[in-house]
Amino acid sequence: MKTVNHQLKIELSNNEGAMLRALGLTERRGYLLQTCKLHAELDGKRVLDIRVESDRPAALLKRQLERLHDVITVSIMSSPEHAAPRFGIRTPN
Amino acid sequence: MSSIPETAIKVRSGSQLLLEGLERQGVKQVFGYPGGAIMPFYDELVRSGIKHYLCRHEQGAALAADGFGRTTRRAGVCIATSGPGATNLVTGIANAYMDSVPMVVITGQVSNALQGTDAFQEVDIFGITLPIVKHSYIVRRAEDIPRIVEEAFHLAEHGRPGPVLIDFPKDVSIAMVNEPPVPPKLKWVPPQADDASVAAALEMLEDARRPLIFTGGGIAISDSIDAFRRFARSSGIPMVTTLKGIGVMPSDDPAFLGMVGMHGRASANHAVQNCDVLMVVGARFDDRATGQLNQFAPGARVIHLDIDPAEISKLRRADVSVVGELEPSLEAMTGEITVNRPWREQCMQWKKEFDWRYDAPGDGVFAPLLLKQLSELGGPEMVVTCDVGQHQMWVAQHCKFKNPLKHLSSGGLGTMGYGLPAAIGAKVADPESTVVCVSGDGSIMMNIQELATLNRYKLGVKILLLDNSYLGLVRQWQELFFDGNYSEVELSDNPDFAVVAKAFGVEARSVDKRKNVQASLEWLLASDGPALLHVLIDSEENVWPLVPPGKANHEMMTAGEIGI
Repeated sequence: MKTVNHQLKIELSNNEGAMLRALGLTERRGYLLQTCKLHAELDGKRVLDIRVESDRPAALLKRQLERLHDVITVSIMSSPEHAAPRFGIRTPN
Repeated sequence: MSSIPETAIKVRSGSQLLLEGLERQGVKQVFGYPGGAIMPFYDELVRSGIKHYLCRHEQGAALAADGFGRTTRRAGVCIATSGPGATNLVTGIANAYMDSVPMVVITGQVSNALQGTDAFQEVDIFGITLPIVKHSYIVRRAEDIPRIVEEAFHLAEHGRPGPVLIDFPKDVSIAMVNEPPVPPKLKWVPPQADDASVAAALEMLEDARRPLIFTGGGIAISDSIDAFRRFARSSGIPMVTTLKGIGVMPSDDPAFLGMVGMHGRASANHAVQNCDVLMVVGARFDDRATGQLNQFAPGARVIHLDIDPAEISKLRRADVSVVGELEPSLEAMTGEITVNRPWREQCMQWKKEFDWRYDAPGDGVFAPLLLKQLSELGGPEMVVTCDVGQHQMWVAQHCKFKNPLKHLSSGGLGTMGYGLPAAIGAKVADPESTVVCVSGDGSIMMNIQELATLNRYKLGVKILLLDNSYLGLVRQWQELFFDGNYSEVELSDNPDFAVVAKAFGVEARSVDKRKNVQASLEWLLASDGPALLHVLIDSEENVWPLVPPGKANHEMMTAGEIGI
């Protein structure tokens, strides 16, 4: 599968470790961080904008991030359109 | 509720608040090991109504909490001090994470003012465990403790369960604060699959000519066994299972074809490779189950039922996903489907054709037969815990289970050393149950110190130790795939395990002849208190069948094919 760029916006609660948890998961699940920017909202929430490079689909990362207790919402801001492959990620040899 | 005496001014220490939080969750037993930073908590612990089981290594405590949590479906609790105490828990936490086991982990931590200064026994356990916990907390204020404990148990036990860490700095543990209000009990609203996805799943099953159910650990974890059986029996669809799903259907059910995967039953692997619709229920396409992923169920459309949306299309694209609590989804599908008869008969023919054989030549102990005998003697209520290796696969193949919660096996992490502490956790959870730890001579040494825990609390765990004087599964792979180059697997200098057990105060016997197995097993199960049966087996016995690495599941190797 071809490597592509995805951009995601992640709303986080203002809990200790929330950003580390989200960024750690992102890289660990196979999405190489290219850029990231964190800013605080007036209501205390944190918003993390990330651009990642991966051969895995953005929707899969979104669902992984949404499992985290600290994550409020995840939006895919841009991602190349392609049909989900039959096998979700690279197949092991 | 708490046994801790109330004071007139209602001032509480952080340690008291943590203990009261545990008691509010109904915690009666915990597993742990004291040390510097957690001492104020232990000071209060002995005054509480909670029974503490002192394990002899923090990894033992974490894995015992896993065994407790897996058996009860309530969070097992383990406790350790900061630094090495906390890092020794890591394997147990990862084990619980990989197998979705509810657990609450409490670690001592150096005081807030010392954190980040490389203080004595300071380690960033919060950071170390980020990838292997469902959630985690560092307690900064004692006032937050009741809320944190309520949330931690709620998260650990609901949805897809998992471990939750509470890192507890020493200054917080001794801080005296006005008693904070008791937090409201958090309510769990199980996510329900939408009607459209259930209808789509039913439509796909109705169109199927060769449907197959593929079950995983999620069915027992979500307490959906009865609903699953009603669905499976009403439909008549043949079924296969992962390691963790063993027992969702009794092994002797005619439509149950066995475990799939690397050491699965040939009938199960053939059915998967030939089905046209694969209905996956609470399983996650682990590579040990699928073999070469892009050749797994190559002609099948996939229906995937799971509570965790992140499992959908992670490894295999789901043509229909049914995301939600399994029980209502299965109930909604029950009675709507009937299976194509020739396909079911073909599956049952495979089951008959690839039945296990126990007529090995010689008079030495034949491990598969030994485990079949154990299973018949112990009956379906027996709890069997395993370590990792050949014996683990033989248990999966040859012991019969009627409930996956009675088969405790480290599936995802594959933790050697799991069996004995897990058995301790299971026995503490249900002291009346028969709990047998099946181990190997490699694995038992990983947590051998827990024999002292058995003796200390007179826990009647029975250990069946299969000794081939090798790291057997590694040796098997070296034999088959590394040209017989045996590298660091030979263990002929093992200690005399029966003597070791006796030194720990555990009764022990040895057996090396097949004709003596039955009587020895009867002794083991009938013995009063903890006991160990040391079984010498053939050093070069292999686990069959075997799907070689990189191969599809139908390309199994069998003993006959390679002339063994």
